[in-house]
Amino acid sequence: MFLGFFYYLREQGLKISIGDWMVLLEGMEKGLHESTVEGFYFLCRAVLLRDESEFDLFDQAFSAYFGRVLEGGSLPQDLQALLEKIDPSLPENAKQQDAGRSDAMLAMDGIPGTPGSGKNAPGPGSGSTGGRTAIFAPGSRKFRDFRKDNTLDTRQFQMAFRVLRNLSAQLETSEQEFDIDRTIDGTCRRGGMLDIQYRKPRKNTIRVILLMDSGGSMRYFSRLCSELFQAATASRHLRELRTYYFHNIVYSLLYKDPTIEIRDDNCISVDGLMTECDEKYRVIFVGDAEMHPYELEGTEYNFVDKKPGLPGSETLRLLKRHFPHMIWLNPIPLHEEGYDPEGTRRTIASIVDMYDLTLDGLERGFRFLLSGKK
Amino acid sequence: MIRQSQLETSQSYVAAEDLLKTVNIALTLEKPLLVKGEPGTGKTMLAHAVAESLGKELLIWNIKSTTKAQDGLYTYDVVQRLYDSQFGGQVDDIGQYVHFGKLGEAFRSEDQVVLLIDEIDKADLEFPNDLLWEMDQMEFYVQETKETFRAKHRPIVIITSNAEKELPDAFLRRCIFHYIEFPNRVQMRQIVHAHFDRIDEELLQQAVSTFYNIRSTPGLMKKPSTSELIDWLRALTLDGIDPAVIQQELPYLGVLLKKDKDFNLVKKGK
Repeated sequence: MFLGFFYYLREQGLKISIGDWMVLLEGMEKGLHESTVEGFYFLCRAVLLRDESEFDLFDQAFSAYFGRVLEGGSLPQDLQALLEKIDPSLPENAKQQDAGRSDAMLAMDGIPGTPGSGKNAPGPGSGSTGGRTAIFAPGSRKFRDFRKDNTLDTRQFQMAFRVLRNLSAQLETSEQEFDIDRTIDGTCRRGGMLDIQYRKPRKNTIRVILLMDSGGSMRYFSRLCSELFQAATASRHLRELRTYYFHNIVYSLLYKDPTIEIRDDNCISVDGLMTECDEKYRVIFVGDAEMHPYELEGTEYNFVDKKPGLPGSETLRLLKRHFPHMIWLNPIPLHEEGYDPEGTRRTIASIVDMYDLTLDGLERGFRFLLSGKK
Repeated sequence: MIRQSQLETSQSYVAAEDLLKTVNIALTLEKPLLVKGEPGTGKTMLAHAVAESLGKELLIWNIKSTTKAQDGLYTYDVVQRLYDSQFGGQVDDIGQYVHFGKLGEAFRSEDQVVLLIDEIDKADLEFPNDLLWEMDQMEFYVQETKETFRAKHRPIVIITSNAEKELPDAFLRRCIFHYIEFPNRVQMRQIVHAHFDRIDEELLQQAVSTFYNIRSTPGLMKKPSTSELIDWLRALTLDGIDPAVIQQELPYLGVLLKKDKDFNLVKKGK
């Protein structure tokens, strides 16, 4: 049964279910592994993995697990014997994972035909026989670039964005679509004479402004934020999505790209934003709300008007008054009690409703954005 | 089981060995094969090649952003029925207004077919999940006629994805997965030879090496793919370009690079 390998792969972080494993066993029963390690490798990869980002992890796990046996460059043909041989020694083997891996890589490098071994790598159909071909080289880590290592995938974020949906009949459009139900109803009422009915299509009316904190302490969360951004841009059902950046807190200017450079084509004033967008826009802040208290309460020197501007907290209150549907998503979980070194978090949370930048927080926040109710 | 020779005699398809193994695994385990890979690595061509080498009919279901899972099974043309009723046509038989989609056709076919679900990631996020039941049970129910159609033969399903959207886990769990890597130089030469009866070796050598150089340019927005190389080679041979100047002058670069920025980037790099 070689369940050892199953648990080893799971320990390495591959999400493999019992169902997947049963399929693998079924495949082996049908002889798909061709009784070679190579065949077994491909069978495992095809059945157990579902994204190329897992290939690298799998390659490493595979060569670590089988590394010691592959040492010396010879691949045993009898897989069953191999698996039995390796199973009892699992705990020891797993402990020596790192050593095993490098062994395996060395061993792989020694196999003729693997990339980098100097010999001309045989292409497909070149009739390579035995258990060694150019493509079978789990130790060579050629899928390294595909790794993602992401905990929250964008799909889940995208699903959360679906909450932001408010379908209503479009009054300003001239578009018409055929209304089957009312046509049939009308036709029946007229005793079978056709009465074609049209209606205005229903579309999502939600418009979103995404404001993201960039740089500084937010660097640690850049991946999370970029996934949120990707999910937002991929959510095509939104009527409109605007994205601007700020550093720590909003003053009189917002920036169109994350570099936060003051250039004419990179800036939009908060006043301008409020003129362009009415109160129906949903505003989402993303930031850790951590800064020096002075940044929040002190007055900004307004470089454009050459005079002192509003403090950050006042700008925030101004925005909240203009956009009642506004939330703040924080990548640092709120339940980390007392984690508020400067007290700025509490101040901001008292102005804007704050939620965790997690799936759960996102969904609760979006529901609030939509309905105004918690 | 398909042998390599079978897959490759069909059309001008060159299959890497690992791809072939995965195809056979999917065939034996009777599971859908999900193929991912860069554009232009022959994902769609694979289905054609498999169908041809197995001697089976190929049904292609092209997915668009508006495609619904239901469309693949059947659609009920209520408007036509309504119109027919106006002119005294016979409308008692609802069956004649039920039109089967590609998936429905594949299920109803007398012989086993190969079904290609092309670019599944184009569709709505929920799309793959909506197909699960039908794909598992190999049957579907037509509400209007109260009929259940069961597949006589489980179709060979090949699904391609460009990874524009992530697919749901429940769906992925039911598929055999394969990622087509971009062909290396040796494979690329084979692919080119499969497309050209005769080609000047020197020209091919120069063009392929220039092609890989361009692909490795950092900052490229869209890397040129296999089909663009084939087009480029066609342009080069038609014009009788001297192989020696390809590397330097990059003739017909517009065939390889479609974006202005990429074009200037590569030109500047030279």
